[in-house]
Amino acid sequence: MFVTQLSIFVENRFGRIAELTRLLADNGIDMRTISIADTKEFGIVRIIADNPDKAAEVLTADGWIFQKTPVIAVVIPDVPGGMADVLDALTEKEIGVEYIYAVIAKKAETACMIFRVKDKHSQAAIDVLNEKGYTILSQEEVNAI
Amino acid sequence: MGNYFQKEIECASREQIVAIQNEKLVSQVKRVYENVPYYRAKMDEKGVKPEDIKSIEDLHKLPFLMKSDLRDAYPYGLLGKPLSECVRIHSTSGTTGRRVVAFYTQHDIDIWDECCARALVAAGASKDDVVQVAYGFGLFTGGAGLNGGSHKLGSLTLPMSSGNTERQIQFMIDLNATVLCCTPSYAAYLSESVNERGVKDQLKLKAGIFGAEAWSEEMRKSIEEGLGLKAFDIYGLTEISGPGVAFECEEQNGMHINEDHFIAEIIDPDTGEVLPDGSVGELVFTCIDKEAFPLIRYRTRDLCSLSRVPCPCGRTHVKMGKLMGRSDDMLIIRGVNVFPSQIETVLIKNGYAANYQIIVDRVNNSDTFDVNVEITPDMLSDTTMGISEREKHLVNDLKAMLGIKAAVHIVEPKSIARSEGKAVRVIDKRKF
Ligand SMILES: [Zn+2]
Repeated sequence: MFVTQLSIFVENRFGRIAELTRLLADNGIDMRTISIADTKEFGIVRIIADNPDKAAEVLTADGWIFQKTPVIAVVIPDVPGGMADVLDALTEKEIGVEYIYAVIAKKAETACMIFRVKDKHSQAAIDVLNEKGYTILSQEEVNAI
Repeated sequence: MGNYFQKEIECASREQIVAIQNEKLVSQVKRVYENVPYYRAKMDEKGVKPEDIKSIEDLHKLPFLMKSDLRDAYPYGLLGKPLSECVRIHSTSGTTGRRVVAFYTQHDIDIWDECCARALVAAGASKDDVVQVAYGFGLFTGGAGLNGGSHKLGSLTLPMSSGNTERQIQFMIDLNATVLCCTPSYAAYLSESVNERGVKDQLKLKAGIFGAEAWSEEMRKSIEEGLGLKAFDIYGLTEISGPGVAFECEEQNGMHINEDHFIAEIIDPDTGEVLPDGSVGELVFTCIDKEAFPLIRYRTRDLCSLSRVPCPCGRTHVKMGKLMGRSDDMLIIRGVNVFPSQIETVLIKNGYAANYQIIVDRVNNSDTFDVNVEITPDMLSDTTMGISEREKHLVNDLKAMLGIKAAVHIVEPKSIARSEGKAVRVIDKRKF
Protein backbone atom coordinates (compact mmCIF):
# COMPACT_ATOMS: atom_id res chain seq x y z
CA MET A 1 0.00 0.00 0.00
CA PHE A 2 1.64 3.17 -1.20
CA VAL A 3 1.02 6.84 -0.91
CA THR A 4 1.69 9.09 -3.91
CA GLN A 5 4.34 11.70 -3.39
CA LEU A 6 4.87 14.49 -5.91
CA SER A 7 8.58 15.14 -6.41
CA ILE A 8 8.96 18.57 -7.99
CA PHE A 9 12.11 20.07 -9.47
CA VAL A 10 12.66 23.63 -8.26
CA GLU A 11 15.56 25.89 -9.07
CA ASN A 12 17.09 27.69 -6.11
CA ARG A 13 15.64 31.04 -6.99
CA PHE A 14 14.18 33.58 -4.61
CA GLY A 15 10.44 33.10 -4.16
CA ARG A 16 10.17 29.93 -6.21
CA ILE A 17 8.79 27.72 -3.42
CA ALA A 18 6.35 30.47 -2.51
CA GLU A 19 5.11 30.42 -6.12
CA LEU A 20 4.73 26.65 -5.99
CA THR A 21 2.78 26.55 -2.74
CA ARG A 22 0.64 29.51 -3.79
CA LEU A 23 -0.25 27.71 -7.01
CA LEU A 24 -1.41 24.64 -5.08
CA ALA A 25 -3.31 26.77 -2.57
CA ASP A 26 -5.08 28.72 -5.31
CA ASN A 27 -6.28 25.42 -6.73
CA GLY A 28 -7.61 24.23 -3.41
CA ILE A 29 -4.98 21.55 -2.89
CA ASP A 30 -4.12 20.77 0.69
CA MET A 31 -0.61 19.61 1.46
CA ARG A 32 -0.52 16.92 4.14
CA THR A 33 3.22 17.34 4.42
CA ILE A 34 6.19 18.72 2.55
CA SER A 35 9.92 18.14 2.64
CA ILE A 36 12.69 19.68 0.61
CA ALA A 37 15.99 18.18 -0.45
CA ASP A 38 18.26 20.85 -1.77
CA THR A 39 21.64 21.47 -3.30
CA LYS A 40 23.28 24.81 -4.00
CA GLU A 41 21.44 25.16 -7.30
CA PHE A 42 18.21 23.22 -7.17
CA GLY A 43 15.93 21.32 -4.89
CA ILE A 44 13.41 18.52 -5.00
CA VAL A 45 10.25 19.49 -3.21
CA ARG A 46 8.39 16.41 -1.99
CA ILE A 47 4.74 16.87 -1.30
CA ILE A 48 1.98 14.59 -0.11
CA ALA A 49 -1.18 16.28 -1.33
CA ASP A 50 -4.76 15.37 -0.46
CA ASN A 51 -5.54 15.01 -4.17
CA PRO A 52 -2.36 13.98 -6.01
CA ASP A 53 -4.08 13.63 -9.41
CA LYS A 54 -5.47 17.11 -9.32
CA ALA A 55 -2.16 18.46 -8.02
CA ALA A 56 -0.41 16.77 -10.96
CA GLU A 57 -2.81 18.39 -13.42
CA VAL A 58 -2.24 21.80 -11.93
CA LEU A 59 1.54 21.39 -11.98
CA THR A 60 1.56 20.18 -15.58
CA ALA A 61 -0.59 23.07 -16.74
CA ASP A 62 1.74 25.53 -15.05
CA GLY A 63 4.86 23.98 -16.60
CA TRP A 64 6.52 22.39 -13.54
CA ILE A 65 8.68 19.33 -13.94
CA PHE A 66 7.73 16.66 -11.42
CA GLN A 67 7.27 12.98 -10.94
CA LYS A 68 4.85 10.82 -8.97
CA THR A 69 6.82 8.68 -6.56
CA PRO A 70 5.33 5.82 -4.49
CA VAL A 71 6.28 6.13 -0.81
CA ILE A 72 5.29 4.27 2.35
CA ALA A 73 3.44 5.92 5.22
CA VAL A 74 3.68 4.08 8.53
CA VAL A 75 2.17 4.98 11.89
CA ILE A 76 4.72 5.12 14.69
CA PRO A 77 4.22 5.80 18.41
CA ASP A 78 5.21 9.33 19.33
CA VAL A 79 7.71 8.23 21.97
CA PRO A 80 11.54 8.20 22.07
CA GLY A 81 12.72 5.33 19.85
CA GLY A 82 9.51 5.22 17.80
CA MET A 83 11.32 5.86 14.54
CA ALA A 84 14.46 3.95 15.51
CA ASP A 85 12.41 0.75 15.94
CA VAL A 86 11.04 1.01 12.40
CA LEU A 87 14.49 1.62 10.97
CA ASP A 88 15.93 -1.29 12.92
CA ALA A 89 13.29 -3.57 11.44
CA LEU A 90 14.23 -2.44 7.93
CA THR A 91 17.97 -2.63 8.57
CA GLU A 92 17.63 -6.23 9.77
CA LYS A 93 16.24 -7.08 6.34
CA GLU A 94 19.04 -5.07 4.70
CA ILE A 95 16.60 -2.53 3.33
CA GLY A 96 18.14 0.92 2.93
CA VAL A 97 16.01 4.02 3.25
CA GLU A 98 16.47 6.72 0.61
CA TYR A 99 14.83 9.50 2.62
CA ILE A 100 12.41 10.05 5.48
CA TYR A 101 10.11 12.78 6.61
CA ALA A 102 7.07 13.00 8.87
CA VAL A 103 3.47 14.09 8.96
CA ILE A 104 2.58 16.05 12.05
CA ALA A 105 -0.19 14.08 13.63
CA LYS A 106 -3.12 15.83 15.16
CA LYS A 107 -3.63 12.96 17.56
CA ALA A 108 -0.98 13.27 20.28
CA GLU A 109 0.13 9.72 20.80
CA THR A 110 1.21 8.73 17.28
CA ALA A 111 3.13 10.22 14.38
CA CYS A 112 3.33 9.22 10.75
CA MET A 113 6.67 8.56 9.17
CA ILE A 114 6.92 8.74 5.40
CA PHE A 115 9.86 7.05 3.74
CA ARG A 116 11.10 5.81 0.45
CA VAL A 117 13.08 2.67 -0.31
CA LYS A 118 14.30 1.37 -3.64
CA ASP A 119 11.41 -0.03 -5.70
CA LYS A 120 12.82 -3.56 -5.47
CA HIS A 121 12.67 -3.36 -1.66
CA SER A 122 9.28 -1.76 -1.25
CA GLN A 123 7.22 -4.94 -0.84
CA ALA A 124 9.73 -6.40 1.62
CA ALA A 125 9.61 -3.18 3.63
CA ILE A 126 5.84 -3.32 3.88
CA ASP A 127 5.93 -7.02 4.79
CA VAL A 128 8.41 -6.60 7.60
CA LEU A 129 6.51 -3.68 9.10
CA ASN A 130 3.23 -5.57 8.88
CA GLU A 131 4.89 -8.52 10.61
CA LYS A 132 6.02 -6.26 13.43
CA GLY A 133 2.46 -4.98 13.81
CA TYR A 134 2.86 -1.51 12.37
CA THR A 135 0.00 0.18 10.56
CA ILE A 136 0.69 1.22 6.96
CA LEU A 137 -1.53 4.03 5.80
CA SER A 138 -3.34 4.47 2.50
CA GLN A 139 -3.64 7.80 0.71
CA GLU A 140 -7.09 8.34 2.24
CA GLU A 141 -5.82 7.55 5.71
CA VAL A 142 -2.95 10.02 5.32
CA ASN A 143 -5.44 12.63 4.18
CA ALA A 144 -7.47 11.97 7.31
CA ILE A 145 -4.61 12.48 9.75
CA MET B 1 13.70 10.34 -57.96
CA GLY B 2 11.26 12.85 -56.67
CA ASN B 3 9.62 15.95 -57.98
CA TYR B 4 11.43 19.10 -58.95
CA PHE B 5 10.34 22.70 -59.19
CA GLN B 6 12.60 23.41 -62.17
CA LYS B 7 13.80 20.04 -63.37
CA GLU B 8 15.75 21.32 -66.37
CA ILE B 9 18.07 23.43 -64.28
CA GLU B 10 18.05 21.36 -61.09
CA CYS B 11 19.08 18.23 -63.01
CA ALA B 12 21.23 19.91 -65.68
CA SER B 13 24.49 18.28 -66.71
CA ARG B 14 27.75 19.56 -65.22
CA GLU B 15 28.67 21.02 -68.65
CA GLN B 16 25.43 22.96 -68.78
CA ILE B 17 25.88 24.27 -65.26
CA VAL B 18 29.45 25.33 -65.92
CA ALA B 19 28.39 27.04 -69.16
CA ILE B 20 25.70 28.99 -67.30
CA GLN B 21 28.13 29.91 -64.54
CA ASN B 22 30.84 31.03 -66.98
CA GLU B 23 28.50 33.29 -68.85
CA LYS B 24 26.86 34.80 -65.76
CA LEU B 25 30.13 35.26 -63.87
CA VAL B 26 31.88 37.13 -66.69
CA SER B 27 29.04 39.60 -67.12
CA GLN B 28 28.49 39.96 -63.38
CA VAL B 29 32.13 40.88 -62.75
CA LYS B 30 31.96 43.44 -65.54
CA ARG B 31 28.76 44.92 -64.11
CA VAL B 32 30.09 45.05 -60.58
CA TYR B 33 33.36 46.65 -61.68
CA GLU B 34 31.42 49.37 -63.46
CA ASN B 35 28.73 49.97 -60.86
CA VAL B 36 30.24 49.22 -57.44
CA PRO B 37 33.17 51.56 -56.74
CA TYR B 38 33.91 49.78 -53.45
CA TYR B 39 34.57 46.46 -55.18
CA ARG B 40 36.28 48.15 -58.14
CA ALA B 41 38.81 49.61 -55.71
CA LYS B 42 39.42 46.11 -54.29
CA MET B 43 39.96 44.66 -57.77
CA ASP B 44 42.26 47.52 -58.72
CA GLU B 45 44.24 47.04 -55.54
CA LYS B 46 44.70 43.37 -56.45
CA GLY B 47 45.48 44.26 -60.06
CA VAL B 48 42.56 42.29 -61.51
CA LYS B 49 40.59 43.66 -64.45
CA PRO B 50 37.17 42.39 -65.58
CA GLU B 51 38.85 41.10 -68.78
CA ASP B 52 40.97 38.75 -66.65
CA ILE B 53 37.85 36.83 -65.70
CA LYS B 54 37.04 34.60 -68.66
CA SER B 55 35.46 31.63 -66.86
CA ILE B 56 34.90 30.19 -63.40
CA GLU B 57 38.51 28.95 -63.56
CA ASP B 58 39.50 32.57 -62.94
CA LEU B 59 37.26 33.05 -59.91
CA HIS B 60 40.15 32.62 -57.46
CA LYS B 61 41.80 35.75 -58.86
CA LEU B 62 39.06 37.97 -57.46
CA PRO B 63 39.33 39.63 -54.04
CA PHE B 64 37.23 38.44 -51.11
CA LEU B 65 34.50 40.38 -49.39
CA MET B 66 34.13 39.97 -45.65
CA LYS B 67 31.53 40.98 -43.12
CA SER B 68 33.80 43.90 -42.20
CA ASP B 69 33.52 45.15 -45.80
CA LEU B 70 29.75 45.15 -45.45
CA ARG B 71 30.09 47.26 -42.35
CA ASP B 72 32.59 49.62 -43.97
CA ALA B 73 30.37 50.03 -47.02
CA TYR B 74 27.20 50.50 -44.94
CA PRO B 75 24.62 51.28 -46.12
CA TYR B 76 24.92 51.88 -49.88
CA GLY B 77 28.55 51.13 -50.71
CA LEU B 78 27.92 47.72 -52.30
CA LEU B 79 24.77 48.60 -54.23
CA GLY B 80 24.82 47.30 -57.78
CA LYS B 81 21.70 49.14 -58.95
CA PRO B 82 20.25 52.58 -58.32
CA LEU B 83 18.01 52.70 -55.26
CA SER B 84 15.06 53.48 -57.51
CA GLU B 85 15.42 49.95 -58.95
CA CYS B 86 15.42 48.33 -55.51
CA VAL B 87 12.18 47.10 -53.99
CA ARG B 88 13.14 45.72 -50.60
CA ILE B 89 15.66 45.68 -47.76
CA HIS B 90 16.43 42.90 -45.32
CA SER B 91 18.83 43.00 -42.44
CA THR B 92 20.75 40.58 -40.25
CA SER B 93 20.04 40.21 -36.58
CA GLY B 94 23.65 41.12 -35.81
CA THR B 95 24.12 42.01 -32.17
CA THR B 96 27.34 43.98 -32.37
CA GLY B 97 28.25 47.06 -34.34
CA ARG B 98 26.38 48.12 -37.42
CA ARG B 99 23.70 45.93 -38.84
CA VAL B 100 24.19 44.55 -42.32
CA VAL B 101 21.52 45.70 -44.74
CA ALA B 102 20.94 43.92 -48.05
CA PHE B 103 19.00 45.28 -51.03
CA TYR B 104 16.82 43.46 -53.54
CA THR B 105 15.43 44.29 -56.96
CA GLN B 106 12.26 42.53 -58.11
CA HIS B 107 14.49 40.20 -60.13
CA ASP B 108 16.44 39.34 -56.97
CA ILE B 109 13.22 38.58 -55.09
CA ASP B 110 12.04 36.40 -57.97
CA ILE B 111 15.14 34.22 -57.99
CA TRP B 112 15.09 33.99 -54.22
CA ASP B 113 11.45 32.86 -54.27
CA GLU B 114 12.33 30.29 -56.91
CA CYS B 115 15.15 28.94 -54.77
CA CYS B 116 12.75 28.55 -51.84
CA ALA B 117 10.15 26.91 -54.07
CA ARG B 118 12.81 24.37 -55.11
CA ALA B 119 13.46 23.69 -51.41
CA LEU B 120 9.76 23.19 -50.72
CA VAL B 121 9.34 20.78 -53.62
CA ALA B 122 12.45 18.87 -52.54
CA ALA B 123 10.81 18.46 -49.12
CA GLY B 124 7.77 16.95 -50.84
CA ALA B 125 5.52 20.01 -51.07
CA SER B 126 3.24 20.88 -53.98
CA LYS B 127 0.48 23.39 -54.67
CA ASP B 128 -1.87 21.12 -52.75
CA ASP B 129 0.00 21.67 -49.48
CA VAL B 130 -0.65 24.03 -46.60
CA VAL B 131 2.63 25.67 -45.65
CA GLN B 132 2.88 27.18 -42.18
CA VAL B 133 5.66 29.75 -42.13
CA ALA B 134 6.65 30.20 -38.49
CA TYR B 135 9.88 32.03 -39.18
CA GLY B 136 9.94 35.64 -38.08
CA PHE B 137 8.63 38.13 -40.65
CA GLY B 138 10.13 41.56 -41.05
CA LEU B 139 13.75 42.48 -41.59
CA PHE B 140 14.71 38.84 -40.94
CA THR B 141 14.82 36.88 -44.22
CA GLY B 142 13.33 33.64 -42.87
CA GLY B 143 9.66 34.54 -43.08
CA ALA B 144 9.89 36.45 -46.35
CA GLY B 145 11.90 33.73 -48.09
CA LEU B 146 9.71 30.74 -47.35
CA ASN B 147 6.57 32.82 -47.73
CA GLY B 148 7.72 33.85 -51.20
CA GLY B 149 8.70 30.30 -52.12
CA SER B 150 5.38 28.94 -50.99
CA HIS B 151 3.51 31.56 -53.06
CA LYS B 152 5.67 30.80 -56.08
CA LEU B 153 4.79 27.13 -55.73
CA GLY B 154 1.12 27.94 -55.31
CA SER B 155 0.76 26.30 -51.91
CA LEU B 156 -1.72 27.68 -49.41
CA THR B 157 0.50 29.81 -47.19
CA LEU B 158 -0.01 30.51 -43.50
CA PRO B 159 2.23 33.51 -42.75
CA MET B 160 2.27 32.96 -38.97
CA SER B 161 5.61 34.53 -38.11
CA SER B 162 7.31 33.18 -34.97
CA GLY B 163 5.95 33.05 -31.43
CA ASN B 164 2.43 32.73 -30.05
CA THR B 165 2.82 28.98 -29.74
CA GLU B 166 -0.77 28.44 -28.68
CA ARG B 167 -2.05 29.97 -31.92
CA GLN B 168 0.58 28.17 -34.01
CA ILE B 169 -0.65 24.82 -32.74
CA GLN B 170 -4.29 25.72 -33.15
CA PHE B 171 -3.82 26.83 -36.77
CA MET B 172 -1.65 23.82 -37.47
CA ILE B 173 -4.52 21.57 -36.37
CA ASP B 174 -7.56 23.54 -37.58
CA LEU B 175 -6.15 24.44 -41.01
CA ASN B 176 -4.39 21.11 -41.63
CA ALA B 177 -0.87 22.45 -42.12
CA THR B 178 1.24 19.87 -43.93
CA VAL B 179 4.58 21.70 -44.11
CA LEU B 180 6.16 23.66 -41.27
CA CYS B 181 8.95 26.20 -41.84
CA CYS B 182 10.80 27.70 -38.85
CA THR B 183 14.08 27.63 -36.97
CA PRO B 184 15.07 24.21 -35.61
CA SER B 185 14.98 25.51 -32.05
CA TYR B 186 11.45 26.76 -32.53
CA ALA B 187 10.50 23.44 -34.13
CA ALA B 188 11.88 21.66 -31.04
CA TYR B 189 9.87 23.99 -28.82
CA LEU B 190 6.70 23.44 -30.86
CA SER B 191 7.31 19.71 -30.67
CA GLU B 192 7.56 19.86 -26.87
CA SER B 193 4.44 21.97 -26.65
CA VAL B 194 2.45 19.72 -28.99
CA ASN B 195 3.38 16.66 -26.95
CA GLU B 196 2.66 18.37 -23.64
CA ARG B 197 -0.84 19.02 -24.90
CA GLY B 198 -1.14 15.51 -26.26
CA VAL B 199 -2.34 16.69 -29.68
CA LYS B 200 0.30 15.11 -31.90
CA ASP B 201 -2.25 12.74 -33.47
CA GLN B 202 -4.30 15.72 -34.66
CA LEU B 203 -1.41 17.05 -36.80
CA LYS B 204 -1.22 16.55 -40.56
CA LEU B 205 2.40 17.67 -40.88
CA LYS B 206 4.51 15.64 -43.29
CA ALA B 207 7.56 17.83 -43.78
CA GLY B 208 9.44 20.58 -42.01
CA ILE B 209 12.02 22.98 -43.40
CA PHE B 210 14.23 24.20 -40.61
CA GLY B 211 17.15 26.58 -41.01
CA ALA B 212 18.86 29.77 -39.89
CA GLU B 213 20.68 27.88 -37.13
CA ALA B 214 23.06 24.95 -37.08
CA TRP B 215 21.42 21.77 -35.75
CA SER B 216 22.53 18.22 -35.22
CA GLU B 217 21.30 14.87 -36.54
CA GLU B 218 20.11 14.02 -33.02
CA MET B 219 18.01 17.15 -32.95
CA ARG B 220 16.59 16.23 -36.36
CA LYS B 221 15.52 12.84 -35.03
CA SER B 222 13.86 14.28 -31.97
CA ILE B 223 11.91 16.87 -34.01
CA GLU B 224 10.89 14.25 -36.57
CA GLU B 225 9.56 11.99 -33.83
CA GLY B 226 7.95 14.79 -31.86
CA LEU B 227 6.02 16.29 -34.75
CA GLY B 228 5.66 13.19 -36.95
CA LEU B 229 7.28 14.74 -40.01
CA LYS B 230 10.40 14.51 -42.14
CA ALA B 231 12.76 17.37 -41.29
CA PHE B 232 14.81 19.12 -43.97
CA ASP B 233 17.67 21.53 -43.56
CA ILE B 234 17.85 24.76 -45.53
CA TYR B 235 20.72 27.18 -45.75
CA GLY B 236 21.07 30.80 -46.61
CA LEU B 237 22.22 34.15 -45.39
CA THR B 238 20.89 37.64 -45.78
CA GLU B 239 24.06 38.86 -47.48
CA ILE B 240 23.58 36.34 -50.31
CA SER B 241 19.73 36.50 -50.36
CA GLY B 242 18.25 34.48 -47.50
CA PRO B 243 17.13 30.89 -46.94
CA GLY B 244 17.21 28.79 -50.09
CA VAL B 245 20.79 29.36 -51.17
CA ALA B 246 21.02 25.62 -50.54
CA PHE B 247 18.43 23.06 -49.49
CA GLU B 248 18.16 19.42 -48.58
CA CYS B 249 16.54 16.81 -50.80
CA GLU B 250 14.87 13.55 -49.73
CA GLU B 251 18.30 12.00 -49.13
CA GLN B 252 18.73 14.30 -46.10
CA ASN B 253 22.49 14.16 -46.29
CA GLY B 254 23.64 17.52 -47.56
CA MET B 255 22.14 20.59 -49.17
CA HIS B 256 22.11 21.22 -52.92
CA ILE B 257 23.46 24.69 -53.62
CA ASN B 258 21.53 26.56 -56.33
CA GLU B 259 24.53 26.75 -58.62
CA ASP B 260 22.77 28.61 -61.41
CA HIS B 261 22.69 31.61 -59.05
CA PHE B 262 25.51 31.08 -56.59
CA ILE B 263 29.01 29.69 -57.01
CA ALA B 264 30.37 28.05 -53.88
CA GLU B 265 34.01 27.65 -52.95
CA ILE B 266 35.67 26.21 -49.85
CA ILE B 267 38.79 28.03 -48.71
CA ASP B 268 41.35 27.71 -46.00
CA PRO B 269 40.17 30.39 -43.56
CA ASP B 270 43.75 31.28 -42.65
CA THR B 271 45.40 31.49 -46.07
CA GLY B 272 42.40 32.14 -48.34
CA GLU B 273 43.56 29.32 -50.62
CA VAL B 274 40.82 27.36 -52.44
CA LEU B 275 40.54 23.78 -51.16
CA PRO B 276 39.47 20.71 -53.15
CA ASP B 277 35.97 19.19 -52.83
CA GLY B 278 35.63 17.19 -49.65
CA SER B 279 37.90 19.39 -47.54
CA VAL B 280 36.42 21.24 -44.60
CA GLY B 281 36.93 24.95 -44.80
CA GLU B 282 35.18 28.28 -44.98
CA LEU B 283 32.29 28.54 -47.40
CA VAL B 284 32.54 31.40 -49.91
CA PHE B 285 29.74 32.51 -52.23
CA THR B 286 29.66 34.50 -55.44
CA CYS B 287 26.28 35.79 -56.58
CA ILE B 288 26.35 35.54 -60.35
CA ASP B 289 22.99 37.01 -61.26
CA LYS B 290 21.86 39.14 -58.35
CA GLU B 291 21.42 42.79 -59.18
CA ALA B 292 21.02 44.98 -56.11
CA PHE B 293 23.50 43.36 -53.74
CA PRO B 294 25.88 41.42 -55.98
CA LEU B 295 28.46 40.10 -53.53
CA ILE B 296 31.50 38.44 -55.04
CA ARG B 297 33.57 35.89 -53.12
CA TYR B 298 31.77 36.67 -49.88
CA ARG B 299 33.28 34.83 -46.93
CA THR B 300 30.42 33.39 -44.89
CA ARG B 301 32.49 32.31 -41.83
CA ASP B 302 30.54 29.03 -42.04
CA LEU B 303 32.67 25.91 -41.98
CA CYS B 304 31.64 22.92 -44.09
CA SER B 305 32.66 20.79 -47.06
CA LEU B 306 31.31 20.36 -50.62
CA SER B 307 30.49 17.10 -52.35
CA ARG B 308 29.90 16.35 -56.03
CA VAL B 309 29.09 12.70 -55.48
CA PRO B 310 26.01 12.09 -57.69
CA CYS B 311 22.86 12.34 -55.59
CA PRO B 312 20.18 9.63 -55.97
CA CYS B 313 17.52 12.37 -56.02
CA GLY B 314 18.62 13.28 -59.54
CA ARG B 315 19.68 16.84 -58.73
CA THR B 316 23.11 17.62 -60.06
CA HIS B 317 23.94 20.73 -58.08
CA VAL B 318 26.84 20.46 -55.65
CA LYS B 319 25.96 19.58 -52.06
CA MET B 320 27.26 21.27 -48.95
CA GLY B 321 27.59 19.15 -45.83
CA LYS B 322 26.16 19.99 -42.44
CA LEU B 323 27.73 23.10 -41.05
CA MET B 324 30.57 22.16 -38.75
CA GLY B 325 30.07 25.46 -37.03
CA ARG B 326 30.38 29.09 -37.73
CA SER B 327 33.78 30.51 -37.29
CA ASP B 328 31.89 33.37 -35.62
CA ASP B 329 30.10 30.91 -33.29
CA MET B 330 33.29 29.14 -32.46
CA LEU B 331 34.30 29.93 -28.92
CA ILE B 332 37.86 29.69 -27.79
CA ILE B 333 37.63 28.66 -24.15
CA ARG B 334 40.84 28.09 -22.23
CA GLY B 335 42.55 27.89 -25.60
CA VAL B 336 40.27 25.13 -26.93
CA ASN B 337 37.89 25.54 -29.91
CA VAL B 338 34.31 24.87 -28.83
CA PHE B 339 31.29 24.76 -31.15
CA PRO B 340 27.81 24.95 -29.64
CA SER B 341 26.77 22.10 -31.96
CA GLN B 342 29.18 19.75 -30.15
CA ILE B 343 27.47 20.52 -26.86
CA GLU B 344 24.08 19.93 -28.44
CA THR B 345 25.18 16.51 -29.67
CA VAL B 346 26.26 15.45 -26.17
CA LEU B 347 23.03 16.72 -24.61
CA ILE B 348 20.76 14.90 -27.01
CA LYS B 349 22.77 11.68 -26.64
CA ASN B 350 22.12 11.93 -22.90
CA GLY B 351 18.41 12.35 -23.47
CA TYR B 352 18.10 16.06 -22.78
CA ALA B 353 16.07 18.42 -24.92
CA ALA B 354 18.44 20.58 -26.93
CA ASN B 355 17.58 23.58 -24.81
CA TYR B 356 20.85 24.79 -23.46
CA GLN B 357 22.81 27.95 -22.97
CA ILE B 358 26.54 28.39 -22.81
CA ILE B 359 27.87 31.14 -20.60
CA VAL B 360 31.51 32.08 -20.84
CA ASP B 361 33.19 34.63 -18.62
CA ARG B 362 36.64 35.51 -17.45
CA VAL B 363 37.30 35.56 -13.73
CA ASN B 364 40.82 36.19 -12.38
CA ASN B 365 42.31 35.80 -15.86
CA SER B 366 40.88 32.37 -16.45
CA ASP B 367 37.83 31.40 -18.49
CA THR B 368 34.73 30.13 -16.78
CA PHE B 369 32.57 27.80 -18.87
CA ASP B 370 29.02 27.09 -17.74
CA VAL B 371 26.35 25.12 -19.55
CA ASN B 372 22.73 25.51 -18.44
CA VAL B 373 20.46 22.67 -19.50
CA GLU B 374 16.71 22.58 -19.21
CA ILE B 375 15.42 19.55 -17.33
CA THR B 376 12.79 17.31 -18.92
CA PRO B 377 10.36 14.94 -17.14
CA ASP B 378 12.46 11.92 -18.17
CA MET B 379 15.49 13.37 -16.50
CA LEU B 380 13.86 13.91 -13.16
CA SER B 381 14.60 11.89 -10.06
CA ASP B 382 13.00 12.12 -6.63
CA THR B 383 16.42 12.55 -5.05
CA THR B 384 18.91 15.36 -5.54
CA MET B 385 21.58 12.71 -5.84
CA GLY B 386 19.85 11.26 -8.89
CA ILE B 387 19.97 14.60 -10.63
CA SER B 388 23.49 15.35 -9.50
CA GLU B 389 24.57 12.00 -10.93
CA ARG B 390 23.16 13.03 -14.28
CA GLU B 391 24.96 16.34 -14.06
CA LYS B 392 28.21 14.53 -13.37
CA HIS B 393 27.60 12.24 -16.32
CA LEU B 394 27.07 15.23 -18.60
CA VAL B 395 30.22 16.92 -17.32
CA ASN B 396 32.21 13.79 -18.16
CA ASP B 397 30.70 13.40 -21.63
CA LEU B 398 31.27 17.06 -22.41
CA LYS B 399 34.86 16.76 -21.26
CA ALA B 400 35.33 13.74 -23.52
CA MET B 401 33.91 15.67 -26.49
CA LEU B 402 35.55 19.04 -25.91
CA GLY B 403 38.66 18.31 -23.92
CA ILE B 404 37.80 20.87 -21.27
CA LYS B 405 35.56 20.82 -18.25
CA ALA B 406 32.27 22.70 -18.15
CA ALA B 407 30.18 23.42 -15.08
CA VAL B 408 26.75 21.98 -15.84
CA HIS B 409 23.61 23.38 -14.27
CA ILE B 410 20.22 21.74 -14.61
CA VAL B 411 17.58 24.47 -14.82
CA GLU B 412 13.80 24.60 -14.98
CA PRO B 413 12.06 24.09 -18.31
CA LYS B 414 11.57 27.10 -20.56
CA SER B 415 13.89 29.20 -18.42
CA ILE B 416 16.34 29.73 -21.29
CA ALA B 417 15.45 32.83 -23.28
CA ARG B 418 14.30 32.54 -26.86
CA SER B 419 14.10 35.54 -29.15
CA GLU B 420 12.41 35.62 -32.58
CA GLY B 421 12.18 31.87 -32.22
CA LYS B 422 15.96 31.67 -32.08
CA ALA B 423 17.33 30.41 -28.81
CA VAL B 424 20.10 32.48 -27.30
CA ARG B 425 22.73 29.74 -27.14
CA VAL B 426 25.84 31.60 -26.22
CA ILE B 427 26.49 34.40 -23.79
CA ASP B 428 30.12 35.46 -23.87
CA LYS B 429 30.73 38.00 -21.14
CA ARG B 430 34.46 38.20 -21.66
CA LYS B 431 35.89 41.57 -22.58
CA PHE B 432 39.01 41.44 -24.69
ZN1 LIG C 1 19.73 15.22 -53.76
